Amino acid sequence: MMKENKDNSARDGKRQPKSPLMRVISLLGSLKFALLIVVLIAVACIIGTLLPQGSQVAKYLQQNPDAKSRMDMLTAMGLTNVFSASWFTMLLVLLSASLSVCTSRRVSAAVKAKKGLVRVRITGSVITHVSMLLILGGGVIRGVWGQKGYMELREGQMATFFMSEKGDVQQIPFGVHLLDFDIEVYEKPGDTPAMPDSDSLGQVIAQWPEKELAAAIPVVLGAEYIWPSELEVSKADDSYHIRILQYLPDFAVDVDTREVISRSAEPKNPAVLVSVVSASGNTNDHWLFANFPDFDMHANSDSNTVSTPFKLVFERGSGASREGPPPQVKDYKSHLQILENDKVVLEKIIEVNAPLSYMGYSFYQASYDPNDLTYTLLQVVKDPGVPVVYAGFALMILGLTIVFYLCPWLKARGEKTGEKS
Amino acid sequence: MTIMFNIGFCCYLVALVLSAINSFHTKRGLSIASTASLAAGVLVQTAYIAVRWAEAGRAPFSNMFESLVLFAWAVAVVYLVLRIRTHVPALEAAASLLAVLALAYASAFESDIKPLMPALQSNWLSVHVFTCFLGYAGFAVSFVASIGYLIVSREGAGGNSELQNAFDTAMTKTISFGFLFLAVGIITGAVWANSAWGTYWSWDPKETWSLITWLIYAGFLHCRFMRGWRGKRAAWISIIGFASVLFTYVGVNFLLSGLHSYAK
Ligand code: HEM
Repeated sequence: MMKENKDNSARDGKRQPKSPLMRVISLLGSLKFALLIVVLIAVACIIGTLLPQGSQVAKYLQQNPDAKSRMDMLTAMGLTNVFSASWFTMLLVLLSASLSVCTSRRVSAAVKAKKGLVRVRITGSVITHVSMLLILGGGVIRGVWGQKGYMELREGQMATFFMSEKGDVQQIPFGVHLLDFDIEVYEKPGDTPAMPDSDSLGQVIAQWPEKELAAAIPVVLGAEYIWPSELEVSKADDSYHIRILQYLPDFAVDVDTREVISRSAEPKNPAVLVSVVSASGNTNDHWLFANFPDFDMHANSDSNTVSTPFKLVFERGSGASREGPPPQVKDYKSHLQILENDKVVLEKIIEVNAPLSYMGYSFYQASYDPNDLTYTLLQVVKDPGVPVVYAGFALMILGLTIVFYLCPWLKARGEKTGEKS
Repeated sequence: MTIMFNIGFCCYLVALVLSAINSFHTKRGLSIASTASLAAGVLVQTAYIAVRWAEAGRAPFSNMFESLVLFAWAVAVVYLVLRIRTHVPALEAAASLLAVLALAYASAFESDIKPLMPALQSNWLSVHVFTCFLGYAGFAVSFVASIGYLIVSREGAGGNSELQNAFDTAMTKTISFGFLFLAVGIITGAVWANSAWGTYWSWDPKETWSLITWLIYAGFLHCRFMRGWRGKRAAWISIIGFASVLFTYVGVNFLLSGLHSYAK
């Protein structure tokens, strides 16, 4: 490579470079060298997409166990993590150096140029090259000052830190509070709704074999039924008040607090709490389980408890059953609040493609847990390089438009007016 | 819907036949008829895309079928704009052939309108795909122009310098156009990625291949304008560039996996 470089500088540098520094600069500014670097970067990119990279290596080895020694060799050569390898960074540094040298040369050429059109063209190409430098520079800023990681939140929780990708805890100077998490699904006609709505939770079947009585009581939270009704029994004190107190889609008892909780919003273990009050005032609370019809858990430690003379069974409804394929998710949203000194300073419902940004940190809706709809996973990114990169993007479009469209247009117009006069 | 797709296809097919005949027996009437047929194809296809847009409630640029339709449309549009200045019947035949092939290939894919996953519901995505495909179309036309150039400049072809010049101009103009629009496409893709997951660049295979393509054409432009490369050498870079476009567009989907793999 050294030999070739010397050839380049000898051929491209019209003024013989004197000092070694000047020689290096004229080499960097030569178009041949720039093209060589661009080709090398393209080749590196090809390698980086064709060979398994980073975490893909382990997967690849699982499928091709014989490739172990080959992979080890490629890894030793730095070819299995091309885009984070130092040799690749070096290529980008060389590209930046080359861009800087030729751009600054072009700037002085633009100043010297007399003809307006030449000036415009050079300005366009200078803008294009500067835009590349900005984009690369923004990448450096991201590498040095950027942070990236994940934040897990459940509804009602607040966090002042996140886990970085490297696995350490990063503090942030404010609190992020999850008010609410929501999933929207595509509704196809005839689809069962994903979230149970209360009128389709199911029904409680009451059976009193001795009296040859049976009834289906819809599970509506808080509803109260009198059963059997006066029409069905002769004596009023044979009637019971049945109340539907609570519904849990995924019943569990917390090991620590011994409290009844729902592990998730999925109807995996649907349960309903029913209170039965006899005419004499005896109260009996039962947990009924759709999955375990014979299991009747008494919920109260009331001394008045007497067993009821009839049997209750919970049959799940369409909202408490999952039939067919799960509906396709349309959107998921987290309602976030930013808190500083216990005061809400910003509030936003974020969704995929619509993050919340505050003090340089951006919070992206990254994922959710289908088994726990109170949970949200946010991606946290701090990238102070973004404005620089975006400025580069804008200048790139401007520069290319000047070079390819403004110049030819000015030229054509100049020729036309030249012809006329 | 399907009927409009078929009419568009037929228009391009007619343009192909007429311009192919026109390449050998150039007649003014044939030139006008074939270009009119191509333009009619564009109009019908524009209507097709508009109807599909309305039906889907989003820009119809999100799977292989839709992108191939867009590609055929963009090739025809880019060619028609180029034709205002440079008219080479053989180039018109080649551009029509590209459009016909793209639509024929499109019909091998499912054409149902499908709902989109959350990350794909973005206006940036529509602009991203649209500009990328305008770029690809520019490169496609430049590819056929380079082939035309190589054919007319091969030894023993007599060296028709007028045709050579026309192909050369077509090649350079479409590459300049494609380079700008691929740049806009990559940029809008980056902005979209940044708004969807906070990273404007992640070296995903499709992303990386679009960069490779762009770098190849950057090489072309520098060789062409700074080092004065012309003719055959430039034509070969343009051909390599289009091979890279094809790999970026189709190859990556089938051979490599990554963020864009849902676009299959
Ligand atoms: C990948 C990054 C690069 C891009 C996208 C790029 C883009 C461009 C564009 C669009 C032009 C205008 C072409 C024209 O005039 O028709 C140009 C011109 C030029 N480029 Fe680059 N370039 C890049 C890298 C470089 C590098 C590293 C050098 C350093 C040697 C360089 C040197 C030049 C020169 C000397 C010109 C002519 C400038 C003028 O006419 O004022 N370019 N470049």
